[in-house]
Amino acid sequence: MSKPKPDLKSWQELSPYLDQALEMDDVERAAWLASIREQNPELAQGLETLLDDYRVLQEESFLEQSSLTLPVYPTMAGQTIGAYKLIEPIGQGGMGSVWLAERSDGRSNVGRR
Amino acid sequence: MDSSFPTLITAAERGDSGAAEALFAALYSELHRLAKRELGRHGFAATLTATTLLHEAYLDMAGRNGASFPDRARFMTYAARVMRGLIIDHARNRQAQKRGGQFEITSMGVEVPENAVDHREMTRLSDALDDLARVEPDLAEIVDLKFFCGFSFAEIAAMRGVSERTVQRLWDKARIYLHGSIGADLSM
Repeated sequence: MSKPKPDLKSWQELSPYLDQALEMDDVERAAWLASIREQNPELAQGLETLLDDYRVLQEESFLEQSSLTLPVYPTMAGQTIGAYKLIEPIGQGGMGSVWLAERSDGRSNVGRR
Repeated sequence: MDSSFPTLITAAERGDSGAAEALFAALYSELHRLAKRELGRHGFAATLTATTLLHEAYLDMAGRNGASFPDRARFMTYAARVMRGLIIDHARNRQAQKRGGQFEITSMGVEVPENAVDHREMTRLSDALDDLARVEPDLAEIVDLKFFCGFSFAEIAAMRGVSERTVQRLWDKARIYLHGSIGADLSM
């Protein structure tokens, strides 16, 4: 990936234009970019790069999965569920956590969700 | 720390970097303490979201500090940044396999596992956000509130006294910056 990273200085120059661009639909934006290009091709180029990136990140759903939760682990240790006593968490899945558990009656350890 | 909190926030807003650090540390330990308390209270099968934790923290701290405590929106601006640090630290601890005496943080989407964000990636995101905050603090704050703390556009709009459309635009702008800065090889 050889794409140059946006430096903060050029970002600050482009930022107010980006505000305008994000309020436009595609047709409006194309005409607007064309008129900027006549006056200042470098500026238009910078904006186009950012707007292309915008399309890509929308397709990727970039940063859209945001719900970070704090599940209860340590407080569960030592609790008994049915015949099992929870010892420690050994993994985490999308729907719950996997625990190392032991049977209260002394049989072998099993994973339990 | 209770009595000094409003003083710290005022000093931090005047640009006192020592006060800003002290404020960060104070909020960090407060959020950490409350997270442990909440998790202990609810027991088995409970999960605590960052949003819930921040709401609790505000009620708790505002209750103890009285009228001098900052309003909710102002509080959230600071607390959301601290929450980002707390989340990354816990992701790091979790991946270091340190267990016992600590709660864990995970990303709880429906089909998350292969998508789970690595703490190194989160750290890079955080560094890029700190850069962005130097020139456009508004944008960085919205990422803290939305991505790290799970607030909705509507909630953020209400806190800021702006329209949802405006929040959406600032969010998109922040994502464009972050994507350009770190997105190329990031699995978020």
